[in-house]
Amino acid sequence: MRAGPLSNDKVIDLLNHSFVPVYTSNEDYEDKSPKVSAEERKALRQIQDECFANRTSVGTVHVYILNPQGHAIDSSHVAAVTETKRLLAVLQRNVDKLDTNHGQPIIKPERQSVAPDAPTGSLVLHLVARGQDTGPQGGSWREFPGENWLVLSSDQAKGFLPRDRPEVGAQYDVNATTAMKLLQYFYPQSEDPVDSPWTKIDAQSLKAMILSVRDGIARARLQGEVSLQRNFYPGKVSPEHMHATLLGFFEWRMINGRITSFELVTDDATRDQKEHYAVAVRMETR
Amino acid sequence: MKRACCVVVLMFAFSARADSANEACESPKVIVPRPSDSAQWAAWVEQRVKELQPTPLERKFDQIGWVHTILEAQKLAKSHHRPVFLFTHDGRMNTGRC
Repeated sequence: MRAGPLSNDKVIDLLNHSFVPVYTSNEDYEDKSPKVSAEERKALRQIQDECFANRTSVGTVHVYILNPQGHAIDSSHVAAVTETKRLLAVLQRNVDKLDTNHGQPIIKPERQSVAPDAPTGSLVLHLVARGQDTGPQGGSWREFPGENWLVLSSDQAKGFLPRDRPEVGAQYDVNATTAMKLLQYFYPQSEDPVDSPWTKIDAQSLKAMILSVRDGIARARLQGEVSLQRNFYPGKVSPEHMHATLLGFFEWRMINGRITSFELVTDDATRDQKEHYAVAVRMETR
Repeated sequence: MKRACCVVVLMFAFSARADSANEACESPKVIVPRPSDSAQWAAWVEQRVKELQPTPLERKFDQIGWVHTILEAQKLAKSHHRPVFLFTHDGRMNTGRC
């Protein structure tokens, strides 16, 4: 949806000027560990109940249209609206039927993938993972890159630093737990929407070498590799094996050990020894 | 059920390529060899990090003014006399880990 109809100018225009658009992640509404309020979950259940009553379609990956009073009046399985012209038809028929207001977007459009709130002193990293042929040609779950926002506490971030006073040329291993926090996300896009719990790192290595120490700032180079496996499909044993070699650089203030810049990329990364992918990580600055 | 849905989605996604292709732009390259000269590695890393970021086209759905919750959407729909478009999905559409 995101790379298809939701990236189409006509759809964007209709949603912004004639609708109140909202998307929700089913994981947030699960019975086991909901991340939204009981009222919010009740609102979704009510919409689905209304669709049942109206004998219109109901599902988890679904489009619902509500009237201005908040009641469900139309619905479509996602498969029926991944084609732009089909979604446009659904939107237009409801606009025509309701004769509702048109106007400026009610909510100002803003970037949807944003850094999470993090305690002062923590290291916030943004990871982008891209399989080969990412884009419309990649089909379905590879139409756009995967992103992770990783927050390392101040103590965890210090795992990148040497234990001793930095000296140019010195080499050391990055703390394995700190490295794992990052490397467990070095996989390309997949259908499984759950990240690290299904991931198993088979082997990892991340070594640093100090390149310079100047004006209270130390700079080091990172080199390493990781082998990991994870399931492609959610909840199903369908392991893919990834291997990647890595190269990066980072700097920190020696007075407080605070990292001030961080960049790490895959040098060579393959999935199941045949398909290439790439991962880039950089520090989020605020 | 979910698997079956995904297969159907995939079928439709392929049939919808004509729509998407009109808006396609070149994706960043996944393979770009590292220079042999280590003096160029820092510049190479910096460049790779930049070019692997999501492109404006890949972030185009950011141009939609999304509301954050169903309750908020229903409230705004009422006060602005507009219908609600609700898309429920698995995973995280904003980060693409699905």
